[in-house]
Amino acid sequence: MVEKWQDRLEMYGLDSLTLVFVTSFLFFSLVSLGLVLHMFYYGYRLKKRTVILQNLRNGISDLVAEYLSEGLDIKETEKKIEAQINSREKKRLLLDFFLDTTDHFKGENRTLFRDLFYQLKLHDATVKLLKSRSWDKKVKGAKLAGKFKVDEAFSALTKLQITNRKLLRSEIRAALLQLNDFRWIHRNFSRVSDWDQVLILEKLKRERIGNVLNGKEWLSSRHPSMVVFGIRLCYLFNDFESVEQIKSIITERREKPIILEGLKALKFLYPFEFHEIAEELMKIDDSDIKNSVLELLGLDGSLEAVEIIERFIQADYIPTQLVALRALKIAGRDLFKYTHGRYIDVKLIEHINDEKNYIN
Amino acid sequence: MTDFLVLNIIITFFIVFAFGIMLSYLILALLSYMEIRKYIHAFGYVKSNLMLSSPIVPRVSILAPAYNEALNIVANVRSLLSLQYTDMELVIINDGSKDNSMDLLIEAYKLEKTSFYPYEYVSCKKIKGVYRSVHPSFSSLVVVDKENGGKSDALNAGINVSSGKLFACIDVDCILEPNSIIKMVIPFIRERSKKIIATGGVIRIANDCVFKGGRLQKVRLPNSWICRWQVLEYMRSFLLGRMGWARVNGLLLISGAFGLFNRKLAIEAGGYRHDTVGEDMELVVRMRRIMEEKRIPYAVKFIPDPLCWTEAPSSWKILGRQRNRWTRGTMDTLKFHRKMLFNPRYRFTGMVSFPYWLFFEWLAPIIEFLGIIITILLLVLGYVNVKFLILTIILVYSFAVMISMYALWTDQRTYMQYKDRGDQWRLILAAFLEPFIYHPFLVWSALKGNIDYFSGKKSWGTMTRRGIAKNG
Repeated sequence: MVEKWQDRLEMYGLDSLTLVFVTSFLFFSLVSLGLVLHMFYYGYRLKKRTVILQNLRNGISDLVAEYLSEGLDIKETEKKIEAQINSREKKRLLLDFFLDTTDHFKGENRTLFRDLFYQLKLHDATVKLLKSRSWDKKVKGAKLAGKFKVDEAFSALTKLQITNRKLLRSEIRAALLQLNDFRWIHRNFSRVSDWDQVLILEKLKRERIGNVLNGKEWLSSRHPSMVVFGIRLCYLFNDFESVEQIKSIITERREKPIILEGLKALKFLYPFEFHEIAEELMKIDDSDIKNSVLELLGLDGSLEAVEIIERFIQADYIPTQLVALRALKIAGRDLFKYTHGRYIDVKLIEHINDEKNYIN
Repeated sequence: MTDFLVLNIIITFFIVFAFGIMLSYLILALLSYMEIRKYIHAFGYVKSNLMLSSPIVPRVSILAPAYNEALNIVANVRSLLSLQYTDMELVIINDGSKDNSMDLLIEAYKLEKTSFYPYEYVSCKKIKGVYRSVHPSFSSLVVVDKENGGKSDALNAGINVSSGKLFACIDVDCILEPNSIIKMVIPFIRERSKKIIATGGVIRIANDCVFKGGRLQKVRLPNSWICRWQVLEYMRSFLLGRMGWARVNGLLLISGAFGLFNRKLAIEAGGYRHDTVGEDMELVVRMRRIMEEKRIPYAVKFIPDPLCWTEAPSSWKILGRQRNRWTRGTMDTLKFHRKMLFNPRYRFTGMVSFPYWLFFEWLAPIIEFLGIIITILLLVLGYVNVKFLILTIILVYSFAVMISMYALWTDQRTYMQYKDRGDQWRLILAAFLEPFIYHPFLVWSALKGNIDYFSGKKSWGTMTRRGIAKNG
């Protein structure tokens, strides 16, 4: 069979290698041609689509503005908007419009805007998005559910919170917070990246639920990232009552990020009488922790604190020595006094006394 | 009989090598498509500007070495100062300029010398002074005046003076997109299971683009063919090559023009080496090596967004020097870290990325050149089947054009930098002409790089630039 096939090819002057080469050449050429044609078609389609969608967006925008200024009632607005939405793509645009615009409204207008969202049955579309296969559609659904407080989406959101998709998980958690469900914080698998924290913090600020959800909720979590975020929330929302709890966390737990964040929090909240736990922390062999402790001791400023700092002004590691000297300055000590009988480079003291070096 | 055997082995070697390269390009193209798609989907709904108001983002120090940049330095610094980021310091390192760059900076930004004590975390030449501005608007500006020591030495001085958890190294004459730092920081704060040690961004060619007030106003295709070919080459290299490698966490190079690094790890690695002209790649490889040896999960990420615009060489002479230097830099890195080659201890980096660079980046031009010489020789001696040769050439040519078309298509599908139909046609034409003019020149420059390397040349070579800030 094979031989016959090859014989037939040879009749036309084509051996098998030539055939492979010619086929490959044709394939590469056709792919190149296809790519060029698609590129131009895509550019043309995009241009056309942009114009159509921009016009539609302007139209909806005008109707919403009229509705919010009480020129149109909700049913009329619904009818007029629906008359313009005659394709899937336009429905997608409508959702995007609501998603992008909601942050511009506050107070009563926001409530009216949410009513319109419901009137247009976009809450159903939100739930559909959350149940779709594509994860980026789910992200959009989670964002809509959070922003418009779509209670109907609650069960879909709860099911999705163990997804492996990082971005989706961040959005799901943020949406759950916006729907006042904080239970995921206490689940064993829960951990938060810095990006999650940026996202959640923004929601907390925007939705003003920072008071409802304070850092203490997170401090008892098993995972270090959750505790770090809890500590951050404590100092970002000025939770002075959590100082003692933070102090005990940083002496009991050994994870470096927790200790460093705890020390940072104490700097913001209440560094006084810090020397009581400083000795314990100084035993940890880590220059970052040592430097943070020294900074705090400087802010503490008590005699006991100064005594601890003085032990480090001749440290072998110059960055630590610099921090120790700076801490003494902050504690109100005259640095030149320390040059008597000790070898301390005067340039270090000049560095510390020059406030320009500490401009942030 | 033996002659034929040797001949067959040689020819088979060249064919296998050529198909190996083609296959690797196809795999990288596929991987990059998957990675770009994932990135665009993931960031379609991410509002990176959330980070502008967030108090928990890491501090970033931008290090920009400058040598004899008096012509544009004040404008370039202003452009860098207006980058969007909450917690940022801009460290300009005057690397012993012979012109009046330093005086211009002092005057324009009301700088005053401080009594900064420069602790040497990594080695660098003597720092003569550290200057800060007394004007509150420029409080994030730090200017380091030091003795001349080259780019890597200047970057090391910057690392010593900076205070950020992350540092970005950039060329002072590059124009960055306003949100470029935010986008580069996101991978560092998004990842939980791995430590991100560095991120790189796409570099685009700025020749003939329109800039106003240090900002890109209009993207235009360069007027000269040499720059157009570089546009196409950068698209292939960044959008296909590096994105593909990033997908499998095998990226070894982050361009010296714009990259973001973990400062602590860079210090642990010893900073930039002074004895190489490829310090950017060398540092990334060294950082990866440390992580592999410590068995800490890590990643080097790459952002496909066009974040940095730079001026490409517009003359063959300067381009030749640049590629000569790149070749020598690659060779240095391969030599310094030869221990990693096919060493299972370094896992993917040692078993795949490093050998790829050895065979398909360093040796490819040499093998290509030898292949051409041997083919001509065999043709003259009558050993070559002409039909087979012509078919091979046509096949390779059509493949090269297809890869360029794919890069162009990817760019148009994602970022659509060249919207003008005329520009698109010109780029297509450039792809067809490139294998005849531009590519042979690159092969020749790489060969010269090899010759210079073995003859002990270590210099950078003068890079004359027109200055992109002048446009508009």
